[in-house]
Amino acid sequence: MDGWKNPIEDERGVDISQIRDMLNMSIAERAHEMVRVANLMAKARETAREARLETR
Amino acid sequence: MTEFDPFEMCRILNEEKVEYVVLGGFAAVLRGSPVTTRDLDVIPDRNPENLDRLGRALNRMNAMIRVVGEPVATKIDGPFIANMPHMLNLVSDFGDIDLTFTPAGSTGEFAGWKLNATSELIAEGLTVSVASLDDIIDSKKTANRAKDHLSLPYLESLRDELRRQSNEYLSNE
Repeated sequence: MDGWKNPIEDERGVDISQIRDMLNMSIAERAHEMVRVANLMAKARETAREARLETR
Repeated sequence: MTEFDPFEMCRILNEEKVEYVVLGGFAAVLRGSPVTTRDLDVIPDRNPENLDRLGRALNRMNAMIRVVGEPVATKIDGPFIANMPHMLNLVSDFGDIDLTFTPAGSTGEFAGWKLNATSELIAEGLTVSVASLDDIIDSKKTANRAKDHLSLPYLESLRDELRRQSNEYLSNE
């Protein structure tokens, strides 16, 4: 696998399309989108934790 | 679970006329980073009047000291905050808010961060002072924590992309 490079990643291994998507939004849109995603992820983690506790 | 609502935290800080700059992960998102965060990092001006205003704002948020386990309720006012040498980690009705007074890096304290910050509209009628991407990167590089190692590649690639887009724009002029 030496030398293989994922075409969607830059030299740091970052998917640059994620950055371009952010830059295509206004600053307020970036803020609201990130907060929406962060709260969704937290809710999913909380739901998973509760489900694990219930199955014990 | 407390919903993370940095807009309400900033709105209260602004209503109380607190002088501050947003830095850290949320500032990075405002600059274009795709890395999510669930806390608001701010560096306040440490003059006593501003810390009094900050104390009033934090009380309105029901801020408590964030520790491992249950948060600790205490009177958070200007003199209390002034006694904190480096930072104060808090939990509030609107999520976690971290006050930092001596961030890592060469930018220094509030005046240095404010110098390079820009005012940005983050919601309707809500403008905040946001740290520059260069200052955020410099601080994270110096702090050198594991979580900084995770976010730094995104921030450096973001800086490269902003430069590339700027050069492209200039060459099309």
